[in-house]
Amino acid sequence: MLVQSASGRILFGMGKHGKLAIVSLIEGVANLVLSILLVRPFGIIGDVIGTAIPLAGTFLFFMPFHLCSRLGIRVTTFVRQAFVLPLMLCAPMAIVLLLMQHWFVAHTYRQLAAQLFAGGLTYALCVGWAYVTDRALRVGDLAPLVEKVMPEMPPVPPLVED
Amino acid sequence: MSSQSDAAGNMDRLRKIFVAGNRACAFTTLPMTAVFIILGKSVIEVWVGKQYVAQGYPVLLILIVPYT
Repeated sequence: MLVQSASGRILFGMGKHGKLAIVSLIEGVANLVLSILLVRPFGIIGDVIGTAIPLAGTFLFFMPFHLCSRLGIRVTTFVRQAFVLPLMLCAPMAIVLLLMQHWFVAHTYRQLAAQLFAGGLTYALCVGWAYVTDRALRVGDLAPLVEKVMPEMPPVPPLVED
Repeated sequence: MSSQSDAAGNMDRLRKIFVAGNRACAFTTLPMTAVFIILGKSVIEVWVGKQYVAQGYPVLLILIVPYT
C-alpha cells in the first residue's frame, strides 16, 4: 500500500478515481466479512488474514494494472522502473542487519539503536551513491503500450492491372 | 502536478511522475519493511516485552506485506 501511495494521488489528480472508490468499498466489506469469519477458528491470526487478503488484492492486483492501463504502460515496465532500484539498494542494508542479528540479538533500546544505526548508515551510503550517480529518480524509456503491442502494418503491394 | 499534466494532455510527463513518485515512496518504505521483518522480534521485545513476541511477530509479518 505505502509503496504505491503516489498511484492513488495520480488517479485523484486525473479525476478518474471512480473505480478506486468502488474497489475500496468492496475491500472494506471483504475485510469486515473475512475478519468476522476467520476470527473464530484462527483467533487474531484469522483477523489479520482477513485484513491482509483484501488489502493485498487491491494493491497487488487492482492498483498497478488499473493505473498502467490508464497511462498506457506495461505493468512489468512499471515494476522494473519503480521498484528494482530501491529493492537492490535495500539488499546491502538487509545483509548488514542479518549479520548484526547473527552477532547479537537486541534486548535493549541501546542495542536496537546500534543495529538500526549500522543498517541506516549502509542504506544512506547506497542511496547517496544512487543520488550522486543520478540514478535515484531518473526514469528510463516508458514508451506507450500501444506502440509496443501494435506493430506497424506491412506495406500493401500495389494492385497490378492487366 | 498530475492534474496539470492530465489537463495539458502530457501523458509522457504523467507516466514519469507515476514511476518517479512510486520509486520515491519505495525508497522510504522498503527499508522500514526490511527493518521490521529482520528486527521485528527485537522491536516488539524492547517495546512491549518478551511475552508478546510469539503472538505479535506473526501478525507483523502477515500485515507488513499488504501494507508495504
